[in-house]
Amino acid sequence: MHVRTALTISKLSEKFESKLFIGKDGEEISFDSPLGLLTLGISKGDEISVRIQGADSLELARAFDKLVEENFGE
Amino acid sequence: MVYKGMALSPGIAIGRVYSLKRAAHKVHRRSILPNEVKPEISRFRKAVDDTRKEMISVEDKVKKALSSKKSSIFEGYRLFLEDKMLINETETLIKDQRVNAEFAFSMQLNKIISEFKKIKNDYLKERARDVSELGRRVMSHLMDMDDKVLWGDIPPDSVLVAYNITPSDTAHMKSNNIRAFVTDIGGKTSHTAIVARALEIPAVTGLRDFSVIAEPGQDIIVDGENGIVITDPDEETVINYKRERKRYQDEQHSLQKLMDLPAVSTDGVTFGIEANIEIAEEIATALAYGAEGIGLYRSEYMFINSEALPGEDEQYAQYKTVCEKMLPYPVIIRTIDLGADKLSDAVKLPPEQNPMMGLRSIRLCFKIPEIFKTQIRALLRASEAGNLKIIIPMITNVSEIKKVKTIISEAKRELEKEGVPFNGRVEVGAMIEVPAAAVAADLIAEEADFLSIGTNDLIQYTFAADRMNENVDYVYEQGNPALMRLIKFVIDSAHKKQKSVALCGEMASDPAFTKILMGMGLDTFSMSAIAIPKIKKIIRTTSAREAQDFADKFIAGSFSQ
Repeated sequence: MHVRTALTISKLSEKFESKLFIGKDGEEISFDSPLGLLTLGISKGDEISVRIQGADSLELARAFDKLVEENFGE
Repeated sequence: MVYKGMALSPGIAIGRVYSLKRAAHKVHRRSILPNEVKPEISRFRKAVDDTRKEMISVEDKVKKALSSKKSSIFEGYRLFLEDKMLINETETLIKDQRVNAEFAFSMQLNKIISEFKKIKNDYLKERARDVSELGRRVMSHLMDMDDKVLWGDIPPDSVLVAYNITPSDTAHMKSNNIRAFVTDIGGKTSHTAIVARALEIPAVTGLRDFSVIAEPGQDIIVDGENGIVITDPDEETVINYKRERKRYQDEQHSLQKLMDLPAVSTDGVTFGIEANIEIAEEIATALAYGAEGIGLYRSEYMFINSEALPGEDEQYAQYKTVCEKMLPYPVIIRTIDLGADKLSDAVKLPPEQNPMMGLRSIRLCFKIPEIFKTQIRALLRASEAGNLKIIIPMITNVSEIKKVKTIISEAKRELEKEGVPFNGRVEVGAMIEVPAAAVAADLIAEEADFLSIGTNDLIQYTFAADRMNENVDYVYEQGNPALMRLIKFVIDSAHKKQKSVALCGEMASDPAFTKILMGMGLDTFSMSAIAIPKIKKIIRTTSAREAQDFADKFIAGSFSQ
């Protein structure tokens, strides 16, 4: 994962109340730490889990989906 | 213990280990009282805030120049500074463990860096460097000290030992008690090596983890001619090396006697001998060794050594001084050659997949025209003061040199309008260091006033071998007929258009190539000042006609297997 991608996702999650968690190989990181996200070492083709928790979780999920579709603005 | 590395810069030094890395990163653990927690946290916050301000000021300087997508690298830095894992956890440590901010921050930083190092992805692994760079800046604010090496504190007769040393570090050594330096990584033709040779500082590199093994204060001998480093030498070894040091110095002195004699072959052909310099302070050395001009003034060192971009007046003053000091000899100033391995603090570049083939040199200058124009204006103004010529690095095709000339004409018109004096006929040359330019040298010689061959890059681009990579060093073959054919073509093409050709790469200072270069009709050899006597001696004892026969045979492949 590129630093830029981590930042894009981080910025997105800032707009919502809900918390976004991302996991790989049993480790899960909250998205308010782009550094933590990078340390997960996500590479192309890796399987990851995404968990969203909070009042506006549906909206955040939709926005995240859109971001994935847009290939994270790359 | 005897260690064998790669010889970087000749000479012999006997001294004591001074470890650069350990001196820069000394963090002590200090317990704090409960009532000190709050002030400690605000001290930490202030350091983070100061770092953020510092990053913003650097960012502002280049934001206009780089596209918005690229400047997001700074956003990365800023976000790291707000990162919960780094910042909040450090504050938690201060509070819970009741320790000083330096210790808490370095603990958290190392934890994150070690996480990064576990990652298999190379790109992400590299980010550990960004984090540690940022950490270094925060730490220097915390400890309220200048981030740079405290040169004045280094004891006499020190041998600097470090993982790696930058060219600007090297520039500081001469006047600061440093007898030699030893590094874990580095290449023979790196800029650090070039500066070390220019300043006559013996150096050895490629010693893998020596910087970790070496004990500060340990006795050490550095043999920069053979690439040997000896720690804790016995008495006999020290005596032998003292004798060796004397022999080396005597030899240097005898070569210096040649300084006032011209570089003329035994059959009366005169060759130009000029010096390559990085900083104005090197002029004295250049003249002392008999340079008849500056064949290459690497102007970017002014940029590398400063956090802020030097303005037009500052540059003008520097160029003017160099030209005046060298009168009546010419000074060829190369415009900013940044990018790739030479990064400036002032011009932060986004990482590229393949920097050596990326946005560097004149390509970068076209991308940041304000910086380039400022330099051109400063150069034009300084051209009034002496025999100044401009050379453009990394020209690849004719349209680039035309574009440069258009920019120069614009700058001239501006200065004219402002009533600022300059030499209207200042010559503009092209560096030939890209194979495409070498093959089209005849076309480039039509547009450029003179040519100068930069062999370091030309060789690595021709043979597709990284000159810093020890593993492919053998492909980086200077004495290959393919390269000589290329050089010969450049020289012949320029001569057909009545233009002169110099060679300013490392090859010019290598005695193994003096004869063949003479034979191919090279006009001027430009090299680091200390090499001048040695090369002059060869020229003065070689016949140009014989050299020509030798070159013809060499190019035909007669000496190849």
